[in-house]
Amino acid sequence: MVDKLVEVFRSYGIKHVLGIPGGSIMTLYDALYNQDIEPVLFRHEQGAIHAAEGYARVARRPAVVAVTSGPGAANLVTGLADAYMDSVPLVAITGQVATTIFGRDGFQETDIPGIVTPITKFVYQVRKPAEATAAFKAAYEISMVGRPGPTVIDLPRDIQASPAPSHEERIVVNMEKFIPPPVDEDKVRIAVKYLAEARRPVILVGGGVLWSGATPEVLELSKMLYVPIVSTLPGKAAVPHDFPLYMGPAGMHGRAEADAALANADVILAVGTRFSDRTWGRFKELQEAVRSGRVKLIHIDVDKSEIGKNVKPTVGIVGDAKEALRKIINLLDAAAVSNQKFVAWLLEIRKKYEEAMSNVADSTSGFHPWRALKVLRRAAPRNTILTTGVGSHQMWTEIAWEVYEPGSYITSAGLGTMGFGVPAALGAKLAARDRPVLCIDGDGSFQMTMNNLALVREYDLPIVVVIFDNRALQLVKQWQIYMYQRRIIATEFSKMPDFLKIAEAYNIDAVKPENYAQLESAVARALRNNEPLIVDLTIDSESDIVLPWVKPGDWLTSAILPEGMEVKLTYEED
Amino acid sequence: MRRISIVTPKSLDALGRVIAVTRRAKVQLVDMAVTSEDSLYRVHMKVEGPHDEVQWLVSKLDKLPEVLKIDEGNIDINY
Repeated sequence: MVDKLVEVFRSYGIKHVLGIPGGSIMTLYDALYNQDIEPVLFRHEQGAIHAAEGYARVARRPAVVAVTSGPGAANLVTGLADAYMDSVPLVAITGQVATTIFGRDGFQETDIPGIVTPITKFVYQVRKPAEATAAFKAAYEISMVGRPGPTVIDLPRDIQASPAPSHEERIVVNMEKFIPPPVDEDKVRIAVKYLAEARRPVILVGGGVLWSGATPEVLELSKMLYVPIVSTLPGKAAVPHDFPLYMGPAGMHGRAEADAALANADVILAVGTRFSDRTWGRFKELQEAVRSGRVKLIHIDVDKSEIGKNVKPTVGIVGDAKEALRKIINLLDAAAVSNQKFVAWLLEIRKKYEEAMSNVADSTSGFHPWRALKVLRRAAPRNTILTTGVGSHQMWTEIAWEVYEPGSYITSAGLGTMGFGVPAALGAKLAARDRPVLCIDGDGSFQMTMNNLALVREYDLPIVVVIFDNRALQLVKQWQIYMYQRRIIATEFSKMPDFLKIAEAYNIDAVKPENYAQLESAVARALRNNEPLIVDLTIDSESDIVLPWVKPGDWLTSAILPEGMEVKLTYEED
Repeated sequence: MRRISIVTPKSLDALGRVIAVTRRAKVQLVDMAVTSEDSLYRVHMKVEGPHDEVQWLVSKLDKLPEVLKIDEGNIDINY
């Protein structure tokens, strides 16, 4: 029946299957022999699934992963959890031992449906040949409909090898529930009223805005009412940063002006966001303000389970973000709000932060991450796709990397998966070979999945990787410095490995720049010429402290700011 | 106390998914019964806990594609 499955792949326009074959998935791989669907062979299954995440976010449709049973399937777990947290559509096909030996602890037998149940939108173990194609179709469609997410099809070996069935058995699921309901007009009217009456309204953009394609509506609404936009970390990818009213991402390592905007708003229009503790620090202040009526919270989300999950809104609107925002725009009086003083105050905070960071970077011997990102942004074309690992370098990109095209910033936000950057970059490049792809990684994160660099030459995927090399698990070390009385334990690496030699081993050019000019020219040349490059950027761990920082459990106005930045994040109205 | 009634396909995998969600809810599962009917399972739960937490559970259960139908109400209505 695997030939039938490949036909279904083709009918969905699937061009690549990412993974690693093994005993229990060989029949499916064999069916791809000499077909127009390319298997892409990773060096570890975790690499394949993070690449699928990068691929799906760029292609805006589900990517397909196929791996063998047991360890192959178990190695997908982190990526599935990551995709589930960040709402990324993909379908993983896991091989399984033959149905005849189920439960007998056969070689490489693992109960994958049991393992991935809490971290998938849908999982189905195929028990009969006639279910296989229908199960894949259901998994593919479910992964994309409504709020996206990862799905898994567990496909036993004997099912794969069975003759093609004459019929297709129906998989009983309720898919209609994922289709966004029509937006409640009465609630929209209330939201419009609150927005029209607001003195300090703020739009909070989450990752759902990107999947909904609602960026134009967000910008239009912001312009109409002169409302500042703040984002979550995933929502950063949804807003062009040169839009003058975008204040950046808020939260633990968000921008100070964004934290200030959220903390001082009297009406918050939150769109496509799940109210993560990383964005808010803690919910107490917001919950109390909403409960007392001091803040009107309007929450739009396609997933009704998110409405009121962490903070009960004043108005909860279930529906597609684009449609809901369009209805709000249509009902709004354009002249309703224009609080230029509030926005000017926020922009002044931005200015002070930039000045303070510039001074910090000036006084740092060697490279400072904040300035390195400014230089890299200049070196990279506007349509460059950026991926990151997880750690201090990622937080610096949250603060300082400017996104110009929606969808061009790909990071592991919810799960915070180290090792995400390189494979996600490979997947992004596979999905868009005509676009420059840059990965900002940390030395710790890079070492977790660097084995997948083998694909750069094998599949001609010329990505540029800049390693912010501070020889530490820097973000954890930062916590040790501030929260554990500088008791530094298990966060510092030795000087091994030599990343230039790692690059050489994979036949990739590498540089270790000595100044910003060398960094800029090397990266600009590689991106312009579509050539792979690894940059080992030496950063002094002691001066790599990511600020602003809202400590875990603190409120947004408690952000620790860089030296020389003397501002209060509490707004005082005249 | 609230009752939650669920219909799923007659599949232990589907049932396992329902239980996986329920075990994360901040409610007390007072009672649970599963009955079988043709190609379906009917899951009947009695739960006790704050209203918001019961709602959390219901809405998370309703996210499962295998949950074909779900309804919730006072315990004396339909259990």
